[in-house]
Amino acid sequence: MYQYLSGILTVIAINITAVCGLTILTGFTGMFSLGHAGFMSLGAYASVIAIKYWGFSFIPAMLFGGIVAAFFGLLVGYPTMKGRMRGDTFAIAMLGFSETVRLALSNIYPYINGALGISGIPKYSEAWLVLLIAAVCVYLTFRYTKSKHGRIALSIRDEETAAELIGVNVTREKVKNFMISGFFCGMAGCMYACYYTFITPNTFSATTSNNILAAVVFGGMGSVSGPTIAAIFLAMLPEVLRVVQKWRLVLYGALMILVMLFKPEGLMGGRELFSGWKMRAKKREAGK
Amino acid sequence: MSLLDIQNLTVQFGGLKAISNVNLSLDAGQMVGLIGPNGAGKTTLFNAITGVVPKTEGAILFDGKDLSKYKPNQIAHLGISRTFQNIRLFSKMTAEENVAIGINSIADYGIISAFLGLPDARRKDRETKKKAQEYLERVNLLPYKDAIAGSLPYGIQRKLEIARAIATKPKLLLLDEPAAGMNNEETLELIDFIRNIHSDNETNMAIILIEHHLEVVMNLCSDITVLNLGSVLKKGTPAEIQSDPAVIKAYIGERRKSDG
Amino acid sequence: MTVFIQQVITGLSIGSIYALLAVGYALIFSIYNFSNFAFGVIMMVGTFGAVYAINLAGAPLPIAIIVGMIVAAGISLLVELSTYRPMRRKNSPRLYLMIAGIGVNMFVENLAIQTIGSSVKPFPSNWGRIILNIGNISIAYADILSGGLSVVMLVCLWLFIYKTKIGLGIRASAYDVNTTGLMGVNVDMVSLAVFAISGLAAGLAGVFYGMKYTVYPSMGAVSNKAFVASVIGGLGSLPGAVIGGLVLGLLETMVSAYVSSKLRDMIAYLVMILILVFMPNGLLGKSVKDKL
Repeated sequence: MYQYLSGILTVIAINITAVCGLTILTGFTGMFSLGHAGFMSLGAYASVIAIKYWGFSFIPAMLFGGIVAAFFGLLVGYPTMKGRMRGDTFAIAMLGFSETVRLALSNIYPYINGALGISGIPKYSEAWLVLLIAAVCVYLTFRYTKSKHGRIALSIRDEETAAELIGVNVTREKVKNFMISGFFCGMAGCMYACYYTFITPNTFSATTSNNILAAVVFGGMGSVSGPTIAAIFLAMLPEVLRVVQKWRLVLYGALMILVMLFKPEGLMGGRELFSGWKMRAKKREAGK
Repeated sequence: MSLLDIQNLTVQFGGLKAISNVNLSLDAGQMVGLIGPNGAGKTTLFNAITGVVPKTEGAILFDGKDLSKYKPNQIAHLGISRTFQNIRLFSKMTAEENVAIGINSIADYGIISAFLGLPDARRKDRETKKKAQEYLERVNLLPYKDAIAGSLPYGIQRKLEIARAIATKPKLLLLDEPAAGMNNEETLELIDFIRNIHSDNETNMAIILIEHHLEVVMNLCSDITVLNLGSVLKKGTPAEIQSDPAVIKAYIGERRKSDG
Repeated sequence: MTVFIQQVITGLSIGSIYALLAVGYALIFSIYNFSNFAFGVIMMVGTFGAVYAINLAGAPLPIAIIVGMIVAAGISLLVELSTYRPMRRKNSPRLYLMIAGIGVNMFVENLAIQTIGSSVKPFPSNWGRIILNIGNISIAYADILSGGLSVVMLVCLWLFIYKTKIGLGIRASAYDVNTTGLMGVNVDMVSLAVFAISGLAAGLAGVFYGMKYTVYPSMGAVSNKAFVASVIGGLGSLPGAVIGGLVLGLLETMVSAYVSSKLRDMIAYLVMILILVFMPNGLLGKSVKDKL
């Protein structure tokens, strides 16, 4: 029972962490990506190498994974964002990125065993620990989005041209947020590896990317609490509804269509969980 | 030395010369009008100044600097700000947040401070919020500060866009058809509004105003440049422009012989 | 030398499949200015339609191809009518349409996996296996068929778009859908025509792909190459899409033969990135800049 519960909690934590990354990129900067699994893969592999070959312990390895992923974010991000890529082109380019990562990793045999994957990864991901890390990530993301960096990101999302003409350095902000999102996904990748103890280049697939995207879409872009709640819900879904497990992705697809048709602002409508209370409190103050 | 000096500017897209040999100059504090029929190249001129479209020939000098060497966001920091024909507010953010971006388009603290919510960052956020509210107050939009920009009435959105533009403390403000879609009452209000921000600002701000509602331009501007088909048709005071036959022809067309 | 010619023929053959897909894709893109991410499953469903026509109804190949094309066109219209059109009516931002497209893709692909099974199947026709030998060069009948029919399809498409009234409506819409509507063109008709044609192209391409390789629920991923081909040829340009498709097919085949077959799939994305960075308008595309 404990095993079962802690398993779900771990999966939830991994999901939440990855979703934090995509929230900053898609929910706040408006860059729609179909290949974020690539960052998770890079982070997973980097951290596993650090653990197995350089004797890193869990948290340093996780941070290392995040940093490596962020570094690739810089490598890929800078040339692509300078060119002012269209939204859909960027999404497909990210798919290409994720595919390239997969193919590259499949063909490197020294150290990482290519397509056969790495096994025997120590199970560092304890439920309480990863949940704590996930909670910290959510807090950090929340603070970031409320800060000027987050507001500037939103301005890029809403009206990129106007933002630039008002003085926002759009390329720099996009690359920055891209790297940050890579960092969070990289960490999630490490958490994943240290729970399932076995990874291959195919582990983090287009389906993984779509799952993270689903959480951001359902939770609502422009919100942190929305996608977080959606991430929890989506992670629990296969467990809670055993019967649905096989049809999970079919359900996600249908839900995505319905959400876009009927409630595209998502669960939270772009606001945070507590903003409703804050608004009412402000009104009360103003009324006095 | 003029604040803005446009010399022999030509902007060509493929085979089309959107702007042909245009000369225009402006001193600090002046308010100048830019009028002309649709397609005359007025917005293209704004786009060229703000760095959005590249120039083909000629020069644009601002404060002595050659603007072609700067990227659009840098030009904004040099002191040029603009509004758009189809309002481009950050529609999902509040009015206050829109103005705040104008005040701080570059964050004044690092990402670590942002992530950790350090007191320094929070203090700076509060300061910016206060400044944003001051700007809103100055343009009588304070009651709308928490409203989502996209949901505001049209006239208010126009004013908000202008408020956001002046929050950058520009030396030169480019207004692109601010009265578009307004009725007579709103237009009169707008005239007062623009007059107020022109006289009450910290940088001796100059304004170039593109407008089709000619009463706005005639009322506010000391000098008017008329563009037609990409070239300057005439320059002069409102009185001179209003009575110039070439200008009338460009706008209204030639009187038919049958009308006598 | 013969090996080289062989590679060129293979390249052109796969290139013609990409060209068909790219055109189907570019047609929607050039008018509605968004990527139809459901395109892949449209192709897949059409292909399976053809497969079932042969397996369940014993249809001869030509009939099966037509069935496949019609099924794909049908699905394409279904997606447009149920999802895209209502969202356009509500003025939904492009991003939402694309996400909805991904939703359709996820839904249909996984539905197929759950009902049919994800394993790959050969296309049930011997045409895929007959080889013609000219001297030292062998060409599969399927390649000749696919190349030939692709050309026919593209010519028909060209005639339709440039010589018919609806085609005129489509071309006008490519400039500005709203104005075109205001000028009296039946934009609903145009959208039906566009999505139907896009589906027909996808279905045909899918059948050829199935004949040349295999058929499986996730085969829609091949349509990502359609996107890449469009980018290479220039987003928004139909002739560009054709050229982009052929170029991509040739490039993939050459790299696969002379450098490394493992790199084949990466080539598409690498080329796309290079083009986007160095030649953002592709070979023939028009620059769709933000109108200020």
